[in-house]
Amino acid sequence: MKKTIITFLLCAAALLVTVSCGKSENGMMFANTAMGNFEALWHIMDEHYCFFDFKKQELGVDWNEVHDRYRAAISDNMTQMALFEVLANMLSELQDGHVNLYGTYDVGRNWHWKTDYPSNYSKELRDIYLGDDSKMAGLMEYTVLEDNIGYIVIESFQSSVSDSRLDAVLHYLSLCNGLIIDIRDNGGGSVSSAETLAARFTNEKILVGYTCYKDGPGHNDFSELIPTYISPAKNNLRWQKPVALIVNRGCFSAANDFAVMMKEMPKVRLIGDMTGGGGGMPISSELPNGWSVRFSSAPSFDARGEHVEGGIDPHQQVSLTDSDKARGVDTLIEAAREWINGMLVNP
Amino acid sequence: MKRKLMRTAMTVNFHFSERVLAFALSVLTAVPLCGQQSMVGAMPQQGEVVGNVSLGVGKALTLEEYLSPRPYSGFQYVVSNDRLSCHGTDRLFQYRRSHYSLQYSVMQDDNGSGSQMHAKLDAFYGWGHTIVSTQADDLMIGPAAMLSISGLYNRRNSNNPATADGYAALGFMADNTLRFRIAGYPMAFQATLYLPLAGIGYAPDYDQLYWIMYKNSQYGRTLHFVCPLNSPAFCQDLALSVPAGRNQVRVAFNVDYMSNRLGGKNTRLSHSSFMVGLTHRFERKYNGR
Repeated sequence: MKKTIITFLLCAAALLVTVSCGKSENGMMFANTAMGNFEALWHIMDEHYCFFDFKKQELGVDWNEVHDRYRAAISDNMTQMALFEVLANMLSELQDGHVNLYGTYDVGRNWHWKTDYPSNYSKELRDIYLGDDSKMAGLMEYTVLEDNIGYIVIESFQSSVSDSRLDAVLHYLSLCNGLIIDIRDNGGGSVSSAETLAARFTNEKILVGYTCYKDGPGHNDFSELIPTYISPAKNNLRWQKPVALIVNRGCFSAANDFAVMMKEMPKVRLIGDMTGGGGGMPISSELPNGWSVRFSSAPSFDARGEHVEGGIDPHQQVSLTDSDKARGVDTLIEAAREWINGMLVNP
Repeated sequence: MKRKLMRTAMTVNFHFSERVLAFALSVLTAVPLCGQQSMVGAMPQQGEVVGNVSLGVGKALTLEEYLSPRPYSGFQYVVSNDRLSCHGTDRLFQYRRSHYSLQYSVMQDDNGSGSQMHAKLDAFYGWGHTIVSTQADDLMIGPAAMLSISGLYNRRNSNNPATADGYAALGFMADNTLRFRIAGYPMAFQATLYLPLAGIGYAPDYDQLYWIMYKNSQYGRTLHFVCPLNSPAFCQDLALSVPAGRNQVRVAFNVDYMSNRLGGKNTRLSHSSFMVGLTHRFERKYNGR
């Protein structure tokens, strides 16, 4: 009888676990209503977004005030489209290109970090410099300019950069006097690709910045700063001559990181406009109604510990002038050529 | 559409599991009983091993806050291997039980807008001391060592698409076998429980990205102490064995549950599956193989 009771208790425990498993998976504490989704989004951001202090300092964003202001616009009988608009507008207050709301019919975004400024970039002009016989290797399109300067255009870091391709490109351009890397309007992609490329421009391990991650729900709960180094590419070609990196406001995320890294490299000069920023590694989460939200979670800093979320300044500020554009001349490329040619005279 | 497909797939699979059960029952009625009938549910003798391989289908529920604050549920497939062996009646722990299982789950959220995949490998070892042994009943308890690793992949996340969970723990095992007959047909009911008490669990710290961990070798805050209040897992197996020719057919209901809060994130994984398998008794070779 005693044994039967023990067996019965074991069975009962199994059933209890089965039932409790089903009931314990409630997920987040917010209901799938307009108000529930609003509160869920606000709390997800409140606990995980990493730039509240920076945004308060730069833009005057008070996240609690944002909550109260947008909460007044929420009602449980509003349409999904209206709810999406309110939530997207709330996120838009942060003016962060890495903050997006993914609904079923739209993506909430704020690209004012780019669209509010002159682009300083013309694809038509770029194509004039590249010519008809430019070469393409993965994400790089390149050619040799008339004054024997290599010109590489990298529009995106979305795909990976292979060492074999980099070797081939650098070998092809090895007799050039210098290199112009044009990353204007590069919206980012893989940071690893940016690092692989940057490793070709240093002969020693260089501190290029820091990163950290949130370690708690508070706005200031961060881990210690973790240094980021770029080590020279081993057993691969490394570029030893001057490099002009052309940047504009369209350089975002991994392209911004690439600019941050290259700014620390020897013989490298950043020419153009301030970069677009996007210095936070984004992660994703979800709302009760199934919409997905992406936001910056791990901030990165330059080698001096300064935020790069708002972009970085070039060494040499140059704008694309209308007169040059009318003449078919890219002011920024010409400035880069002038600097490289100057370096040949006065290294 | 996806949800409808999932529902259809689950229905098909449940129909499939019913067919498997029907097949098992037809084997039971068709195959003449032999010497195995007296061995159903009997504990192994010294040097003897009772091995079982089962396949199962069931339901999986996950809540992994690193990936999403929302629960996901879906269908799971399981293959498991159980072994019970006797290593000397004069020892304190006469019996050794091992349990390996591999689970694979495909899940969706309740809106059908997100999907996750989950794979889990369990390896449990138990050393049993018999505290009750009668003609109809055997109850053994003893220490257990448990190792579990799993990976969860969310198809729509960007830089946090996947998470890895793992733990190694020492705990407790209880195994109760009840032998009985229905209409003269020998059967055995077995209940097995593995409960971890203390160990080490693996999880990244709060929003720490695996990319940062990998790139900067930031593994310092990824190992965490686990205890019953922060229990890594719980596994319960209820099985009914009946003779079938030279083997036994084992029909089981398996439940495992993991609930912890490591690195500031809650994780709840639960699986329940219906399993069918064959049990075979054999002797260990003297060289230990």
